[in-house]
Amino acid sequence: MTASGTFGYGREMAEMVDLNRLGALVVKTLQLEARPGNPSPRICETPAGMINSIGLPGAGIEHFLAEDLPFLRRYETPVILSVAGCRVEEYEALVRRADECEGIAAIELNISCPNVKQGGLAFSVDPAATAGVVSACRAATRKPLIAKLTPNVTSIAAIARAAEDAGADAIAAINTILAMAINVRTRRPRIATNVGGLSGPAIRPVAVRMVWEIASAVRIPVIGMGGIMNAEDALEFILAGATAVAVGTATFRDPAAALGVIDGLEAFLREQGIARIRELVGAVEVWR
Amino acid sequence: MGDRVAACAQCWNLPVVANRSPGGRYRELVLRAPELAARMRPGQFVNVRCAEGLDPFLRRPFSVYRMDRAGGTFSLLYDVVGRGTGMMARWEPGDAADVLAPLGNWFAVPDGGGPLALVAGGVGVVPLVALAEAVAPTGRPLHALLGARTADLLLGEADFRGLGATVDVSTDDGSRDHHGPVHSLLQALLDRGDRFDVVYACGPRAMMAAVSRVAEGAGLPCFVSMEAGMACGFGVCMGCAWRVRADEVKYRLVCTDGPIFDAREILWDMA
Ligand SMILES: Cc1cc2nc3c(=O)[nH]c(=O)nc-3n(C[C@H](O)[C@H](O)[C@H](O)COP(=O)(O)OP(=O)(O)OC[C@H]3O[C@@H](n4cnc5c(N)ncnc54)[C@H](O)[C@@H]3O)c2cc1C
Ligand SMILES: Cc1cc2nc3c(=O)[nH]c(=O)nc-3n(C[C@H](O)[C@H](O)[C@H](O)COP(=O)(O)O)c2cc1C
Repeated sequence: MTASGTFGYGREMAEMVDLNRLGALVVKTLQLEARPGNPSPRICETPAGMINSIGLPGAGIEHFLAEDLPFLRRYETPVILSVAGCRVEEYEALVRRADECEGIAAIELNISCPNVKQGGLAFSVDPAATAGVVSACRAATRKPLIAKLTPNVTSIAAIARAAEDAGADAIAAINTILAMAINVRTRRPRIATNVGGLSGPAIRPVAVRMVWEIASAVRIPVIGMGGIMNAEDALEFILAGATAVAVGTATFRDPAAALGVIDGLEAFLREQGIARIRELVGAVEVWR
Repeated sequence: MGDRVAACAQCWNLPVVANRSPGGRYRELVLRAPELAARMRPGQFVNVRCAEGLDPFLRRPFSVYRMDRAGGTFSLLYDVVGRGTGMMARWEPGDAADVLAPLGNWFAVPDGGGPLALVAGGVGVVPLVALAEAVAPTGRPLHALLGARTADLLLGEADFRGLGATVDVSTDDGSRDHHGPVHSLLQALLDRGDRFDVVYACGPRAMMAAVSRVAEGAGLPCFVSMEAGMACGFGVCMGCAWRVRADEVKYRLVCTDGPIFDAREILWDMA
């Protein structure tokens, strides 16, 4: 799968990547209204990764449904809508709108984006708030609902359980980790919002640990992500309990990174004589 | 948003033909790429992967410098400023470069035969040399205004002369020709009666801002090649946003809406 916010709305990537080969395409998070996003600089490079504070720019859900979804429907790949709002009612409205649309396989609730000032953060740092938004959205759709969680919490397992109990069909994790970088000569933080979200290989060990904790705590499927560059990285998540994986920041270095992961997984299964990748899900042999 | 452009980008594995120094910290990297040499337009850029491993993590963007269609090569001219360019400087003929290209839009050249002013600051000459190379065969008069801090940092003079352009030089320290910033050279030419159809500029932000103010004052259209830190180069990370003049807060992406912008669109005092 693709990670939201790293593959645009698919259309930008269509000439570089065979979209039909993706397991699923998760689009950049949509909101009810158009948003300009955050001031620049919005990104900075860090060791084995980057910090971003993009601020969810976009033309809004209606623009996506009218302009981009018809394009994506020409492909066989399931399209997953990612949505975010500042209030429960906004999530509910977005989900209700998506529920009416054909060509949307599932809805991901981005209740974890750390960037929008009064936005998502509040929801997924608190089990009760997570339950509140998930259950409101559950009542608004019969499509599969994915709760995407922030790692910026003490116990991600507790949040995941709250989402499961409120009716989520799957958990996606992790979103970016709150981070900061400072230019020592100008004494300015390297991004305009001072702090932003860290992604890329630098966060992978944290992400694997969190996916393992979530998978141990819930019965619903877990979509693992965070710094996946190749098949071996993806296998760590799968062994930790993820039934699917998403590729994010790696796409910026190599637009076809997600396809490289798929090819690598197939080669690994052949090499190891494993018939189905399911056999590896959660198959980590932990030390006792 | 720029599907027109991103539509044809892809990753290429390009043989290094040469990686030579025209002087100073600068290097010219010549790459064999017949398809790209035939297809790329002046002002477009490429995104180069510098490291095998994870450091530096992101690709590095560079404008296209010279294109040799007959020889099937194109080149980049880069300033060795950090880790990525430091790695590139060690590449040798026989090595291969992982290059994502072509990216971004290109310079528009309005119809007509009037002279074009190409105003460059430092390594900002790169896309302007590419523009001169494309326009020179049409016989349209080209006037290059090259600015540098000191005479020994001047770049591109031989390129422009070789392409038949008139060249004027300005240095901040007065070590050569016009003494002062390059926008004051443009103003001086306009004051003495030189006429241009369009002003094209590339260089540090403050320099482009000053040049665009001079152009605006003279009622001349002005196009600038912008720079911003970017992660992808093809419009999906949305990191390279630049605030533009509008009643409400509005950003455009350097990678796919640019890097070439109408100078009147840019809000210069914003990051
Ligand atoms: C569209 C576009 C076209 C460009 N064309 C050219 C070109 O033709 N020739 C050329 O030499 N450079 C060009 N650049 C700038 C070039 O991308 C940077 O110089 C390069 O990324 C530096 O990489 P590094 O790893 O060597 O430096 P780093 O190790 O990342 O940084 C080293 C130092 O350089 C500074 N630096 C990093 N990036 C930039 C930047 N974009 N502008 C100014 N200073 C920077 C850093 O602040 C730091 O002090 C272009 C940039 C863009 C966006
Ligand atoms: C530039 C950028 C933009 C992102 N935008 C979104 C977004 O709009 N919605 C979202 O749920 N996650 C967003 N993310 C988070 C990713 O989807 C992913 O959860 C995170 O980056 C970890 O995976 P990675 O290390 O493979 O990138 C963004 C990440 C980056 C780097």
